[in-house]
Amino acid sequence: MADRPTQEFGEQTSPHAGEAMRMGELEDWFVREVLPLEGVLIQYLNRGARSKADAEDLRQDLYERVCTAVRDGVPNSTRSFVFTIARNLLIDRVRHEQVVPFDTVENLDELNIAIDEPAADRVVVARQELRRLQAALEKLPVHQREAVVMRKLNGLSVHEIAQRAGIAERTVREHLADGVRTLADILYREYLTTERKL
Amino acid sequence: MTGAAPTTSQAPGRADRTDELASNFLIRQFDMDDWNQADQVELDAWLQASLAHRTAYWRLKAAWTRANRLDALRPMSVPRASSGSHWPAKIGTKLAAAIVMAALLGGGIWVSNRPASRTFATAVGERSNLQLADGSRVELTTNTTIRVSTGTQDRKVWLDKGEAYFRIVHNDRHPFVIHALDFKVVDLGTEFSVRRESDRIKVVVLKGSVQIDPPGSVADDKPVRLTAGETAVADDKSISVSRPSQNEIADALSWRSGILVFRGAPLREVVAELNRYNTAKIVIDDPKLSRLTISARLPANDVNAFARVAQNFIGLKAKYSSDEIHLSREEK
Repeated sequence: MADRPTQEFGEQTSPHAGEAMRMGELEDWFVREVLPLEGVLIQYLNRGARSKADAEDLRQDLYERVCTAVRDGVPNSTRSFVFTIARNLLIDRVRHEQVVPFDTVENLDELNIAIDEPAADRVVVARQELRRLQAALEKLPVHQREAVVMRKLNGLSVHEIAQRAGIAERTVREHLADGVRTLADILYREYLTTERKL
Repeated sequence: MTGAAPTTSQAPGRADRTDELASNFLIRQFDMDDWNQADQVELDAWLQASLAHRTAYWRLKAAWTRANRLDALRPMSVPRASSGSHWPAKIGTKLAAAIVMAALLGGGIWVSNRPASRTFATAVGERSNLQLADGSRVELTTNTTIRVSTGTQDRKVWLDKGEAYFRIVHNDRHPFVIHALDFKVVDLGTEFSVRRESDRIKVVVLKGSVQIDPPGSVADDKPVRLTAGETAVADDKSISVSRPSQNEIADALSWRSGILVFRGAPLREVVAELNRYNTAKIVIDDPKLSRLTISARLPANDVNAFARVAQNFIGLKAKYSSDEIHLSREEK
């Protein structure tokens, strides 16, 4: 029973959440609607970012803003909702910082056209999903991959992985933690190139 | 791929640190045995501190949950211990521990040549793969018990309850026989499943052929031979053979990858099937609902997924209690 919808494990509605959307619902919405856009979003944010780490910071800010804003009402089009917020985020940046490349603002409108296209069909059949996961696995650095394979594919516990690989449990834990971050980056960003319409 | 490798020379930004913390929490919470109340309190506090923390945690959790599907690729020789939750179960039974040891030694389960039978069982929501001494493989679905006796002379399995899929290494001189109820299902070089219900058995043949030997009481009393693509239902009156479409065969065996497929099945059947796989049971409060027909592909181990379908697509009302989900008609 990992995800009983009304009672998310370890989550409580925060005092300023309002009645509009519970945390569990917000999580569902975020995972379902926003995360699949991450590939195009990060490309977009990269334009206004000074470095890769900076782009990630922008992404974090964006997700925070999006989840704050959505509590006032769920938009019809997540895509334009999210990109409008992304655009404002970049505009704020341009206004307050001189270091942002000059072409950012000009390109915003151009990008905006592109993002109004209908979203790709996000329904993924199990087999496609499996292929994507396999492809993602292959891209993981070797230690992360070994740990993730033993955990997720072979179903071994961290203790068993440690024994088998002859390393400390703590190291296994670190490989898994690194692995889940790499995996998220691959799954949510290389989405565009691997997605096929059903 | 920011935030991926810990050894990156680039000084990580705020988001990278958030992601790192979130991933540490996540792995400790879902993959370690020692997660406790204090850890939970710490996580809750961290999540409540900022929506940025929450989105980072949600994002990684979603990716980690997706990766659970990888268990469909699990090789046969490695034991499977899928659980009712999204997260792999802790392998609990002594049997499973033995399986793991065998797997670590590189083999899978090697049942010894002793003629005495050995029992293998799965709990509700569990699946398990076995490799027998003769190289034959058996996949057990939820809540299933078999006894295996593979001596040098004969190879026998008793299906005491549940359902199993067999990939038999054929040997003309030593037939492989599955006993279920009073029937014998005899391998003739094949892959097939046998399911035992209270008063009948169902056999689905994917490859090769099998023979069903009825007990003396069955009317026509003759062995029935099934070939690839055929299914049979045998009870104490008759054995009826049918040849469904390839898709239907695949649907009937989809439990092997943790999926249940229904095409125009009555709700009560769907619920009964899901309840085989889950400790949290679905209860239909309104008997009239039982006759609703459902077509769906559902994850076997996720009753909540079904409850969501019931609510969002069929318009039923779902009420959750501690270990039951009650379905009723939406009151208008």
